[in-house]
Amino acid sequence: MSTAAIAVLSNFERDRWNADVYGAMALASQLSALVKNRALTIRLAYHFWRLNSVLGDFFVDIRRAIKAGAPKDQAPATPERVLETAQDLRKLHRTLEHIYGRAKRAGLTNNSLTAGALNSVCNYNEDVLELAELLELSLKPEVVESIYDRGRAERERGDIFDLSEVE
Amino acid sequence: MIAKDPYDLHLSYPLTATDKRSTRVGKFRVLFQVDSETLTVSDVGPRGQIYRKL
Repeated sequence: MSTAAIAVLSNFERDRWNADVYGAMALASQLSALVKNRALTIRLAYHFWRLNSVLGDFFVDIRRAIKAGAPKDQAPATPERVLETAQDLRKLHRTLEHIYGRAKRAGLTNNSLTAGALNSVCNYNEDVLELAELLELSLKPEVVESIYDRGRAERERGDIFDLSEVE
Repeated sequence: MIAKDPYDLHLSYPLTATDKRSTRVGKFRVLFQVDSETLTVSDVGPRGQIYRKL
């Protein structure tokens, strides 16, 4: 299993993980309803910044968990738990994508009160998907290894480009 | 930025080992490997597809 995935799953208790992910999802769904009902922009802005802050705190914890690494005395997470966690993240990703699309159609990405928070939420949404992919990949290390093997083979064939050549 | 600190978790995540890492640029993923003084990019591709093309 990937080092990052082991660390994330070992350092997050299931209850805390659920609270963080489902909390963010609840906030996003609430916001989606507010956008649909054309709530006051100031109210929307407040909720977007709140969601942004929740996602920001979540990723601070994720990075802290990866940095801390997995505790040596703990058994690794089961493949079922890894898949379940990745599915939760994909669900959160879809909810955030939906809300961003809806907000964009409502012109909120051009509104100075909401645009900043919305762009930030969109960025965090990419992080959410990246984390889901990372967890899924932890169950298929051979896929990652074969990408690196192919890269190594290309390098051995001399099929390489220096950064200055591609810039 | 990555060349300055390839292990910065704000910029990339470790994959199967700490020296094999993935970073994202917009909706693209960049897989690279850190080998002492060299940073080698092994693959670049759109999210969701880069791991499926094998």
